[in-house]
Amino acid sequence: MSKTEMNWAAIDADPRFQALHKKKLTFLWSLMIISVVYYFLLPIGAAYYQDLYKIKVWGPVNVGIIFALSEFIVAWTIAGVYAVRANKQFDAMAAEIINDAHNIK
Amino acid sequence: MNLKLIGGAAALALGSSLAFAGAGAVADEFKWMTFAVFGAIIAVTMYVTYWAARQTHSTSEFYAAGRSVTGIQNGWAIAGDYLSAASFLGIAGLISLYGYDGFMYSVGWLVAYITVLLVIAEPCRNIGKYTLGDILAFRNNPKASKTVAALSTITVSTFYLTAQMVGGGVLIKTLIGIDYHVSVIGVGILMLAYVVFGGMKATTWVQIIKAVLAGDRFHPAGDHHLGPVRLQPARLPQRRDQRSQGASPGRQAGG
Repeated sequence: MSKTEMNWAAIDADPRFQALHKKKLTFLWSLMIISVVYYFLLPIGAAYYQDLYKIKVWGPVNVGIIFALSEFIVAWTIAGVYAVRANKQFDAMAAEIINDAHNIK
Repeated sequence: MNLKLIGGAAALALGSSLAFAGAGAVADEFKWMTFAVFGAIIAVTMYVTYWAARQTHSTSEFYAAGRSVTGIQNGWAIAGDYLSAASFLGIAGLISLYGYDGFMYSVGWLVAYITVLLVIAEPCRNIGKYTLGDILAFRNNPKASKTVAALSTITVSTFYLTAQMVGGGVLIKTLIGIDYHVSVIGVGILMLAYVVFGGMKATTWVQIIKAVLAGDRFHPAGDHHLGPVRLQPARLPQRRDQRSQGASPGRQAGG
């Protein structure tokens, strides 16, 4: 498949591509916003909500430490959610467009 | 063979943790042990570099390991990145000095990985370039964007590598007793050797070995971390169909 045969503008205008692009953009940026907000809760909490963070849960372990550790869980979860969604949905949608790319005029 | 390497590395890790147990600074009569562990790890990683260099002939092989690194291998390599001297020594030090504030610092790095995953990685892969500079140059004034990318890479690397090399140098001095300046220069030479001769294949495997060793406390040269280079698409295994080859110069499906 040589590049000259591709009508890139038509592919770009194809509703399937537009749908994929929009879906992906929304999905990626929502995850991004969630992770950024969740991350900044940590320094904000440590600075302004120390009474909350100081509550002891178990021995020397307090809410602050658990919250900081939960950042790792949330990050792994986000990575997992992304991987599942990308593998199942986005790759399939992209494959459909790629297989049909030569017919899009 | 790779399994053997990892097995050997794991055995070394066990040995080195035993050696480390008694060490604030190692007693003289045990220095040969730490020296042997350092030597063995350097030998193993140098062999990996030699092995990688023999297979590296093209640009893609040098910068992207020929796109042959699998997801699992990449995961281990990135874990190895995260366990650098700066994080191991630096975070431990920050926590001991500043307590919770230091702990929060370690979380920040983690969140940066999410940014890379969601916003940077896929466009990188779709465009099929090797560095962020290439990607910026793809759509903007190539000369200006490459200059900016080079400057920022050098700036970040300078600060990053300073911490890494000081960490490596201090460790070697503490554990083996080699003079600090010699240690730092030695660490620098090793880093250069991994990257210059072995390219991405060697750095990936060295990072994997490092991750398996659960951190480079014992790896004097595990710090060949080039900061922004980690953002390059080489870290992302390409699909077999190499769809990026035909990537549109227009908007990418990656969003």
